[in-house]
Amino acid sequence: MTITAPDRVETTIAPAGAKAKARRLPGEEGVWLFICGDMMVFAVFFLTFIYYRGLNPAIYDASQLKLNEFWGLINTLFLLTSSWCVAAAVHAARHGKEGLPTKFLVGAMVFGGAFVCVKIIEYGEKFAAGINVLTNEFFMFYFMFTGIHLVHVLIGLGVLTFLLNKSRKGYRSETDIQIIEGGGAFWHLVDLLWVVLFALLYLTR
Amino acid sequence: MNILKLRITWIWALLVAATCFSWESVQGFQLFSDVRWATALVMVVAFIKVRFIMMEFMEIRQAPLPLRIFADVWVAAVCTAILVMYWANAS
Repeated sequence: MTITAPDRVETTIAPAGAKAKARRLPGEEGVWLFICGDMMVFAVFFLTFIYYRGLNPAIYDASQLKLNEFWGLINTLFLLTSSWCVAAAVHAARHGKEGLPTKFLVGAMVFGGAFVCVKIIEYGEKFAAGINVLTNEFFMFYFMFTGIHLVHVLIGLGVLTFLLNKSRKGYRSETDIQIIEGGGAFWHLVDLLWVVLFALLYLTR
Repeated sequence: MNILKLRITWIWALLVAATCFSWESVQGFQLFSDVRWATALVMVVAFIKVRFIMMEFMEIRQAPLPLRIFADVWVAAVCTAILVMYWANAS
């Protein structure tokens, strides 16, 4: 039977036709502690930004016009698609589809890498225009938040590389599945934080 | 594995559509003459997207209750706080 204790990782597979769907934590508990902690830190970032924006909206509005919103849109689509690839890899691993997790993880890394490339181009455009972290308060927040997020993306790409190496041996045991689930959850965190950053930095008027 | 039959594929399509809608609502067709409403709409759409990513991609929908509550409270609290702080200073 299925273990349904809310704070325990599921270790058995529910029988077909089971009425109640078991609650289970995807990945390791430690990964989720880190994810929740990171979400709290970024919540403080978001609120700090909106607070200081309110003190001097004119500077923020003028500075925001210097951002290339198209790059922001493209990068959001890249991360959403990368996230889908990881979710598909987890699904394929769970259902024992040999080879498919590898393909999806490569796809996730390609879109994640594309995000990094666009970010580098975007930073390059800003530096070429004489804009940097010291330009004003808006750009201080812009470079700080997107920079910290970029570090998350790079760590995430490292995690995906690890998962890719592991996928070549196949995801066979419950522990293997937990590893890809935990790594995937971190990548989705990177995605969701960017979704809010995109709205705050690029689209707030 | 038919990816079109996967729930996550439809969620991805919804997220992409919502992203383009948010971008267009600011860039192209302007739904509101007052930018504050446009910003509020963009922010609400962003946090709806965040919740979809949490529930569907991160699979928090099927996670133990404490994690679900944390995720829902985070989305509601951060979105509300941003809107209140934005509105208080924008009016």
